[in-house]
Amino acid sequence: MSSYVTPVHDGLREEPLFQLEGLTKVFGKGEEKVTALQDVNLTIRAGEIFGIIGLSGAGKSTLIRCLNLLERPSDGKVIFRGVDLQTLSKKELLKERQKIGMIFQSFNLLQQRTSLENIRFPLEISGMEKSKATARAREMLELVGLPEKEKAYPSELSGGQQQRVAIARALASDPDVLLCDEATSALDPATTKSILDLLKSINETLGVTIVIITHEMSVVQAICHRVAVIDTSIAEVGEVEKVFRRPTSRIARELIFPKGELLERLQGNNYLRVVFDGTAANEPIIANMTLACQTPVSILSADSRNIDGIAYGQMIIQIPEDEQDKEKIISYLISRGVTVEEVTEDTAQNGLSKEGVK
Amino acid sequence: MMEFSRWMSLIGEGLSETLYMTLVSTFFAYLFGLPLGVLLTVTSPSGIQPMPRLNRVLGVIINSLRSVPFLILLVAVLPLTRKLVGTTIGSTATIPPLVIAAAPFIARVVESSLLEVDAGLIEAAESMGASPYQIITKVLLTEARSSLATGAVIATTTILGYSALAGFTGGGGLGAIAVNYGYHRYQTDVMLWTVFLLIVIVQIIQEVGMRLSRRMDARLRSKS
Ligand SMILES: Nc1ncnc2c1ncn2[C@@H]1O[C@H](COP(=O)(O)OP(=O)(O)O)[C@@H](O)[C@H]1O
Ligand SMILES: [Mg+2]
Repeated sequence: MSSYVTPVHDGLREEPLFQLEGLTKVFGKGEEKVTALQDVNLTIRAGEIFGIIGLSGAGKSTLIRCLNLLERPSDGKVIFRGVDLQTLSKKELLKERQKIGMIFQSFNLLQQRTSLENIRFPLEISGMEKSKATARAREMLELVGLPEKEKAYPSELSGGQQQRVAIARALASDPDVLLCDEATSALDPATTKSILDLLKSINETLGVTIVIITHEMSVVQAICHRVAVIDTSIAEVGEVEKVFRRPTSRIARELIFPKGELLERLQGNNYLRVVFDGTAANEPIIANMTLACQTPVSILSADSRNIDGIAYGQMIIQIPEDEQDKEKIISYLISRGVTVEEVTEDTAQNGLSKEGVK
Repeated sequence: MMEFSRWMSLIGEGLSETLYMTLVSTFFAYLFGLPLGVLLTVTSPSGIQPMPRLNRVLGVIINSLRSVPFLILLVAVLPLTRKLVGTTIGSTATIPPLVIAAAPFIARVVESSLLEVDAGLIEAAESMGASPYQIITKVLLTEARSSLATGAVIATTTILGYSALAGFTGGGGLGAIAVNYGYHRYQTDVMLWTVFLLIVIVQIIQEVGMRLSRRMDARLRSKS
């Protein structure tokens, strides 16, 4: 399982926080059997922001619920800070859960409690003295930027504010890790950004490890250090940049470069897929190419993303039938440091090949 | 027509007996019905502490009790009533059958209120390490409090109706007055007055109860 682990040399993120070994979850019996997770092996390191992305029904929620044993695995191990959670007694498990905060898509705040009382809830559970708990809850409200909403009930708060209260509540018991299940999926883009910024700063200032489940590429891109692509099993794991630049699994390519209708229009061999992986400098490559090669091309689709200020993405261009022109274009592009691939129906379906030009 | 003062004291006594039977029975019925409703909810297959066999047994008992018509129950529990109260007539004697009839009903009402609590809230509490007992007291019962109050209004008015029925078998209260004067002596005006009073009591319980129920629901606070 450690074959997935790519070492990061900033010291902070070396130590494993969660180790999943052969994790399998099967729902139901007989005819109605659904395998939600199949032999998942994964290490989440202390201090990192780890993204888990997958399509709907890929098993994301099941996986994150296994991390605090809200869901009991059918097989395999969940090891948290070196402790196999399934060997713990009920009481010990409840104690461990206080070290694993969790937030949800639908916020899940207690509707009959004010913000302050909601944040105090986990502290009441752990038996903290009330005046101490109140002080701690106020501190947390301050942290998430809502000190004036102490007496507000959830029904009086916006979605973004409710999620902030939920974050404060999850952090109140000073957990090592915060699990986020589609925490921004119910929010508009601007609110999503502010929540992600908050999570990022929590990770940086408090050192809390964050595990983010999402079906949105943009969320992973915005704050994750590493990402795992899941489709019942783990399809691939790695640094976000690397996975984005060179997705090796079909499912990852599908998530990063959605196929859309374009591929249906592609036929024959006079199409090229041009992949920018951040190595090419900021130059208008296609424009320069048409000048240099003196051949017109048409751009059929372009899909690029900005990661840390560098453009990654792909473009599909139509090139002349003439073999010589084609050669010229391909060698020009390669000389500019981009990856080029001829697109046939088959490779179009399967996305990018690792070798580039065949 | 009776002398007015006699009339008043008769109705007044009936009224206080009816309230006594209703309130005391409701109290004891909740004493059994509330824990039973909680037990039904938490032991269900999708509950926080699934115990399928216990759940099924409880379900069968509750359903059986609920399908016995109240008048028959009233007669069937007479030996038990005599043992507990020492007599089988008067308003106190109607309390045991009322409790036995109402407790399973209340258990179902409580269960349906608790089932309304969003499963996400329970999941959140579990993720924070809450024990089943903490989830019951701090999540289920508190989050459902408004719905539980609505249920209590329904339960109280139902018990009030049952208590009037007990007038036929020697119970006291307005029901007994209606039976004795209206049914046995053809004094229709007395019967109509008692019916009118019963309607008024139900209205008051309903109004006050529903207002309290709404007031204790923080979800109804308007967005500011
Ligand atoms: N409690 C459950 N009972 C039966 N099947 C379930 C249950 N929870 C999830 N599943 C199934 O497991 C699969 C993965 O679900 P889930 O983890 O919720 O996916 P995701 O969060 O990625 O959308 C789905 O096919 C879903 O129907
Ligand atoms: Mg999900």
